[in-house]
Formats: sequence, structure tokens, C-alpha cells
Amino acid sequence: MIPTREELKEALAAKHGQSLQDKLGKATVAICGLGGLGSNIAISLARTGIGKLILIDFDKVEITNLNRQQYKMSQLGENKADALAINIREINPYVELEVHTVLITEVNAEELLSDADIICEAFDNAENKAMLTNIVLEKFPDKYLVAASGMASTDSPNTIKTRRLSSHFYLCGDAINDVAKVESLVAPRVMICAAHQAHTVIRIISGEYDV
Amino acid sequence: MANDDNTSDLLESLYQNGGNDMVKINGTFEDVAGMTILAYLENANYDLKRVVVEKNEEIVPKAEYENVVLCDDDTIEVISFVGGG
Repeated sequence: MIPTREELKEALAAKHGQSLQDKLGKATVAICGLGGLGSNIAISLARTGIGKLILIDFDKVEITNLNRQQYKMSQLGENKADALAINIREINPYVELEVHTVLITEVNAEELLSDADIICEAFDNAENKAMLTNIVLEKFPDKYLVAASGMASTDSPNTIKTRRLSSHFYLCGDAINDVAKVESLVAPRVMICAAHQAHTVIRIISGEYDV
Repeated sequence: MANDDNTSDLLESLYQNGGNDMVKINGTFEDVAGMTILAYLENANYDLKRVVVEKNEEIVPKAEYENVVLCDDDTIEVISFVGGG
């Protein structure tokens, strides 16, 4: 028997505080890209009892994803968005999920993201990161954007930081290490960056906007 | 707090460039007033496909890079994304 929605709510409030739990339960967060960053952000937020996650990725689970992304060997070849939805429901079946197996473009971004209070940029490709950031900041000045740049390499974990670049735009990462120029992209450092993003989301929801 | 920040920014500006106004780009004062954002980015060898530009904490749409001229006292943030995720 899995716990009921009410039992889980109570347990979460016991760990998070009732006031924060109430805010988390009302929030909708879109996660753009479900790789090393996005799959980790999504699972962190699902564990908090977030109200709704919008999961967006066109890609399928590959063997080279398993070093850092929250998928299982049994899920190879599946759509990431569908596979992650299954994994999240095993952890917290009461999070509302909206699943999109599409490539986010300038054409469909507005429709996909319009319901979100907070948007996480979690792509791996630098040009896609810039494209999405430009779209969100131009089209949704009232939504919060939490983006990431620089989490490759085995450099010190302490170089990964969160910066607030303008009132609604946060950027996490070391800003330097490009996966194209360094050899490694390892789970802990990617997860540190994803944790910065997920925690920034929680702080925004809680009304703590500074960094 | 905001006043203190402005004051220290002003003092830093006076100290760094002898009282001449300049454009502050990614925290560094540069003598580039009069250039368009496009010219500045190309001159500084930025990859235009990877950048996001904010001027005085407002996004500059990509289509405006060739029209927006940098002015003294502007604060510019050029974010050049790197890959990995």
C-alpha cells in the first residue's frame, strides 16, 4: 500500500514547514531538456511535493546518458519525457505531470511554457541554451528563468555558483567549462549544478529572491 | 543598500577611468560608447549563436543587436553559454 496523498502531504510539511509546503504545492515548473540537469532537477522538485511539472524533451534514453541522468538501463530507447514521468510517479505519484515529447523551438515555446511560473533551462547544447534564454526573457518577462552554463570537467565543485543576472533571470554553473573542450561530464558536478537550479526554484517559490 | 551600491559603483568608475564615463561590460569598464551591440560582440569575437545580452538588466532582443548603440553609463551583461548538461 502506498501512502495516500494526505499522508504524503503531512510528511512533506513535517520536513519542509507548512508554509513552504503550501507554496510548493501550488507551483508549476517547466523543465526544458531532461538530461543530466533536467532529470535531476525534476526528481528533486518531485520529492518536494511540487504542484505540477511540465517535462519537455524530444530525445530518447541512450547508453551514454546513464552516467549522470536519472534513467535506468531498462529504459534505454524510451522517450526521456515518458521514462522520467514513470520514475517520478514511483517517487511521488501525486505530482501533476504534463509530458511533451517535442523539440522546443521559437515557434512552440510560448504554447509549451505559458502555464509555468518558473522555467528551467536544462539543455546540453550551448546554442539551444542561448535560444531558449532569449525566447523566455523576451516573451515572458514576468516568469522566472533558471538557466545553467558550465558544469563539465572535474574542476572544484565550489566554482559552481548561482548568479542573479536580472530580476527574473538566474544562471547556475561555473560559466566556463565547455563539454566540447574538456573530457568529462560527471554525475556529481552535473548534479551540483542541477541542485543549484532546483534550489533556486525552491527559493523563488518561497519568496527568497536574492542569491 | 541600493544607494551604497550605486555610490561604490560610481567611485569605482571614477577611480578606474579618471572620471570619464564608460560602458560597464561584464563588470569591466570599456571605452566602447557609440558602438552597436552587434559591432561590440563581433569585435570581441563572441559567437552570436551562444549569447544573451542584457542592457541595464533588460534583455536586448537579438533582432535589435544591430540597432542598439552602447552609451556611457550603460551596464551590459553578455552571457556566452557553454555546452554540457
